[in-house]
Amino acid sequence: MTSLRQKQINAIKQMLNLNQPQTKLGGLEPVWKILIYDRLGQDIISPLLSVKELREQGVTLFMQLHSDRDPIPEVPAVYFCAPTEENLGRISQDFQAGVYDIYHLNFISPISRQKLEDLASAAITANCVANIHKVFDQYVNFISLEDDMFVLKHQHSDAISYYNINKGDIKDSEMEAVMNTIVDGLFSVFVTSGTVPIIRSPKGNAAEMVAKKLDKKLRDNLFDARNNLFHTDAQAGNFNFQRPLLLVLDRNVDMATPLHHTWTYQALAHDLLELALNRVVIEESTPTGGLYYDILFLFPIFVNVVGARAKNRTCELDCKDKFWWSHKGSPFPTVAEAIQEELEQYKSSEEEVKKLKTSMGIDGENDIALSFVSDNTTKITSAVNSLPQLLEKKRLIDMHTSVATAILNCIKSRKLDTFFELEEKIMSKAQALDKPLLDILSDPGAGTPEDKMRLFIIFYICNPHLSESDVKKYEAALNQAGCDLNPLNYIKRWKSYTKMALAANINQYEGAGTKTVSMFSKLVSQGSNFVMEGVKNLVVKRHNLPVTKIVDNLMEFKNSQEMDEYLYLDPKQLKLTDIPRNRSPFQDAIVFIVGGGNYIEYQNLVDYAKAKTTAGTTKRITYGATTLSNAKQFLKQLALLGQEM
Amino acid sequence: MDITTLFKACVKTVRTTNKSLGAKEQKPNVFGRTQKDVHLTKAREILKQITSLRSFFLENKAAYLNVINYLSTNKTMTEVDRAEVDAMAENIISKCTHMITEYKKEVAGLPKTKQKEEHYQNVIESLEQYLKNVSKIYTEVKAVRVKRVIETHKLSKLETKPSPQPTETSEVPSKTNLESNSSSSTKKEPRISLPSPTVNYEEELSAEEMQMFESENEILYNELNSISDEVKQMESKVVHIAELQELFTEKVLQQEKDIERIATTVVGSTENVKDANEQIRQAIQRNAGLRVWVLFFLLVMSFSLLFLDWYND
Repeated sequence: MTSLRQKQINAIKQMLNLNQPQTKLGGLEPVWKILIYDRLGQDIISPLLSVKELREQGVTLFMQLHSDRDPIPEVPAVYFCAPTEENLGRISQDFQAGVYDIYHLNFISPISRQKLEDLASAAITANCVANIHKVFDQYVNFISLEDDMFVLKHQHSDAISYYNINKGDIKDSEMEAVMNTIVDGLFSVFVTSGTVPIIRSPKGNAAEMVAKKLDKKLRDNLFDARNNLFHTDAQAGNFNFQRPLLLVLDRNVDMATPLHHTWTYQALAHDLLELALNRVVIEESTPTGGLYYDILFLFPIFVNVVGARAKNRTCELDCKDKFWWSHKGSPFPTVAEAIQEELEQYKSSEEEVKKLKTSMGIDGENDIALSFVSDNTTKITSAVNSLPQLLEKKRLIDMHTSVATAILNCIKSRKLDTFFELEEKIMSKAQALDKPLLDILSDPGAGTPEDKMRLFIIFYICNPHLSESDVKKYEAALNQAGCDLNPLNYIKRWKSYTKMALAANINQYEGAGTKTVSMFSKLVSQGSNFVMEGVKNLVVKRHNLPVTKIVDNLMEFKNSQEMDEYLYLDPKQLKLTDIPRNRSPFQDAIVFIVGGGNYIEYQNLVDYAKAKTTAGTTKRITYGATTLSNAKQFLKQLALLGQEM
Repeated sequence: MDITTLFKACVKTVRTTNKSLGAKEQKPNVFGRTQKDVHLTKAREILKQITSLRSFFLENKAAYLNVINYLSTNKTMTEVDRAEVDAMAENIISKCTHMITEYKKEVAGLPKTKQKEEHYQNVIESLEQYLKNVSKIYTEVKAVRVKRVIETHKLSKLETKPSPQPTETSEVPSKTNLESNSSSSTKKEPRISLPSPTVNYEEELSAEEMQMFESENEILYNELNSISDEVKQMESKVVHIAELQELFTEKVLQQEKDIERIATTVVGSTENVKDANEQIRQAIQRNAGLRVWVLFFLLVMSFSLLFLDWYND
């Protein structure tokens, strides 16, 4: 079963191949083309295809739509943009200027009839109708970050942020527009994956609106015989009788997780280093060392990596990187250890190669026996073939070392490990933890005001019984620390809204916790670069976040009172029926959070799916969100909302 | 989803509405304004050449590789044919590389904007990559053929080991032929004069001779076998080494540019350091000079003060 990301890559490659079905022949002659995209197109393509892959597809130039472009004759131009007024205006300008000779227009989401007619008239006035060879609707209005994670927007995502959806003075028309954007994105997800899901969502909030709209859209499309996008599975070749479960949730179901301090590698990168579209920008202020290889004394190959002062380095963290793939969900100390191990391994391979050189140098002069030569040639071939791999490994290790060092510095300066530990304790037991909490809040050296605010909000959310005086005491401490109290106002209101629902199960976060393992003695003894003394080695116990719990309940059809209140929508059925009780548990699920997602939930879902798969039943869970916001951004939105109240 | 037809329909509707509104319409350019890019024609030619080369390789691949000719229906090539194919292939590859370098020079001389330059550079790069891929097919096929030849040779050796007679008997007559020729040339006269002794000579010594010849043959045969063995192995090793050599030359060429750059930078920096030393020396000198002047000035002033003081008194 190809993942969503792979399907999206195939769709884009086909588009780059001028929408002709791709053949599997290797080494085909290149067809040159130019790619023009807008911001949304750029966001979609950049995590999927690297520049090298684009060149392999024959793309000689790629440029932004709204930039000055020179006329380039004869090669086809592939446009990949959203059908907005702005973009269409720019395209008509291009027509007028006759910039290119052959146009292939691909719209990320379907273009309306009206706009198509406008485009047609622009083409007629510019007298280049014959130059427009193809116009396509590519239903790829989403950004796949990982094989099982996607978001809807990255740049210009303010329109569908949590703030915009929940602000007090939102107009109906604005809400409609926001909902349409979200539904459009979700619709393209399902067109790309080729399946029709069963939709479930809670009632009474934005999630319900999204679910109903999506249901209607899917239904309309399925029963429109003329252009049914969901061709049967026979075409795709996979007889997938199981339909996936789409679970649309609102951010309000769990407000503590976005503010939680994290401990896994990927989540830390997102929180502290602003991981965006699988890229991190690190400031390097020290020069990195140089490397010198000497292979076969005849061919000195010089590999020198020397950094400059305070340079901004962009690191790409994607799934092709084996180390990242295996460790992105591990807690940070494990990651540090793993980097050390990789470094040791790499050093030993380097030693081997050097030994080869000396053996060649000594023996190549004396021995002319054929067997020895054959041995050496094979050794040389293997060494030379493995050389690029070694260099690549070195580069990756370097990159991860710098990323991990940057994260470690942040953790040390803001004492994030204590925050994490406290939050886990709060989320699990919610006992009277006044003393350590007050200490941290008044400690000027521990963390930024935002960190303290986050900690306190989590405490506030998880404690249903908190007297006014206590709250006042904390607020005073927070004010002293210089925090902005606006988010708190908003959270208070939110809590009062959800008080009824929470009354039943007080603690949705139970099972969390940490135990300090004295593992870092091993680290220190190895003389590692990561001086992790002072940073507690916390190992997180397996627990399920609220979102995961809901997913679990719904996928397994467990009897739970809350879940019964969830809507059940099936676009393929003509009438609304009751929830069938005799269905087998779902194997595929797509969890979509309206209002902003984060890596912590994603990691939790991944762990849950893995646990279930090793236990016997295979489960594939895809995580989606309108956009990804880390704690800082989310806190800012809450502050704005609190201010407006 | 392909909405080209929908688009064309829209174009028609707009045209009809325009006509009904009486708007003047430009003559539609039916054939489209696809001006051929003069500079790309050469690139397309090169592309065609490489593609024809590729199809040529793929066509003759099976015949080229067919070392064991069991069925007469399978196409195979004689050694001469193979040498021809090799020569032609290398010829075409060198021609293509030549054309690419020429095209590069031509493009470099054109006046163009930055985007066009990037465009042409990428076109050239893709051409080079394509040529490399196609020549890789060729070298792979060659290496496979050499390996197969060695394998078949090994197999054939295994066959002749248990029954060395047929080959030896074939060798023996040839050897006896040689010997008899040489002996006949030297002993021609005695033979003519004494026919019967020569016949006796041959008959008497035939048993011994045969043994001798047999042992000699065996030795020669083994020697030649081992030599041809070694030669075949060396051939494969050389092909191997040639591949490695290619890799290395690639890497070295890559490094060349960097090394040149580093060399010029180093030269520049030595110059700079020299100048800097010069400047520092001058600065020190001037500093010393300044000090001398300052001292002199102070001395003169103090003496003048003393003098004035003494004078006024």
